Amino acid sequence: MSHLAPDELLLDYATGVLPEGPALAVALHVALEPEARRTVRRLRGLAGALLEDEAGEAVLGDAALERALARLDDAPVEPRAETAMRPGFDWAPAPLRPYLAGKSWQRGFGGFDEMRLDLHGDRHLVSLLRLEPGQGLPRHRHAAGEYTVVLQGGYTDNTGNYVAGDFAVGPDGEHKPIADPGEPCIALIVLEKPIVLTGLWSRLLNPLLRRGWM
Amino acid sequence: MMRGGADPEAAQEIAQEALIMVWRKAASFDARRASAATWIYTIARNKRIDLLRRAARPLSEDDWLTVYAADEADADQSVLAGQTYMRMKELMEGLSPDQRIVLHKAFFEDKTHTAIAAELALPLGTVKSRIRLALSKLREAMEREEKER
Repeated sequence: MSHLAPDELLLDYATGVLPEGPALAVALHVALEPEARRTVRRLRGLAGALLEDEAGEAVLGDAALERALARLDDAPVEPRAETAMRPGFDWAPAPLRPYLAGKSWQRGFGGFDEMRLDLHGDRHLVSLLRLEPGQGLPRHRHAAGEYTVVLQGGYTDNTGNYVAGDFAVGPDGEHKPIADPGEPCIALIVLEKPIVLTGLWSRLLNPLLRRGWM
Repeated sequence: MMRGGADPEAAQEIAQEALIMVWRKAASFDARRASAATWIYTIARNKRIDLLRRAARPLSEDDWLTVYAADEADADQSVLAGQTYMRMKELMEGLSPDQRIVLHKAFFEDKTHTAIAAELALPLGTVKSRIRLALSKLREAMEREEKER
């Protein structure tokens, strides 16, 4: 049974109102998970059909239409867009690829690899994490919303087993995800605010974490 | 567009930009995957976001291509294309007024489900469950139709 993003998040994604970080998480989920893709497509289909209903109000005045038509002559017809795939990054679905330019894995304090992604003005923290099979993250809870999308391999925590394409929200309480056997687990994590480590020793790391050093 | 908070001038600008985009991207339009209205809705929506909120967006107008180009074997790929306006209207009429108003605000006023809850002075959980119920009804209706084909 796959873990799907909740409907209200797919709706927000389909209408284009999500901030960049969460939108990227849902875009990757949608790229990998056929059922989520179907839902988004249905929502847009519904919006399109309803748009015909709304079309009674003329938005484009005659003069504006003239201007737009005049500009068409200068507009080149674009070929279908292709995004290049970097060697070694074949696990990255198309929406992620523009974010990977110039990025490489960094070994963090916790002993796992992290790649921090740069957003364009959105304040969410977005990282890729890579865990070796059997490797776990320190036990932690979330100060605010967290979205996780698995891109390769899988992990297990107290809420279940998550594999490539799966989407996780939260959870509310503490959790300690551990990577499944097999290939390394790669996941995109979107955080509204930094997580808080709750293990005895790792609590000492919280000040570093808040400063964005981990 | 205007209901989404754009003033009439901005709405005209968006409509122009969208029209030009439809022209430039026409090579990517695939009638088997979606109706022209759906495609144009998506382009206009993305244009509006580009213009009103230039920065904070990862996926440009091309995310439509990403979403639609990724799979080939989905059972319903031709269904929406063939879905008529009347059929969609029927589906919407099958929803409760509460569910309809939430979807309408999402589609045409560009509000997040959180903003919709605030505007209607409803608990977030209520809005979430209305969206989930509405979508499960739509899913059921569409799956029924897919099976009949």
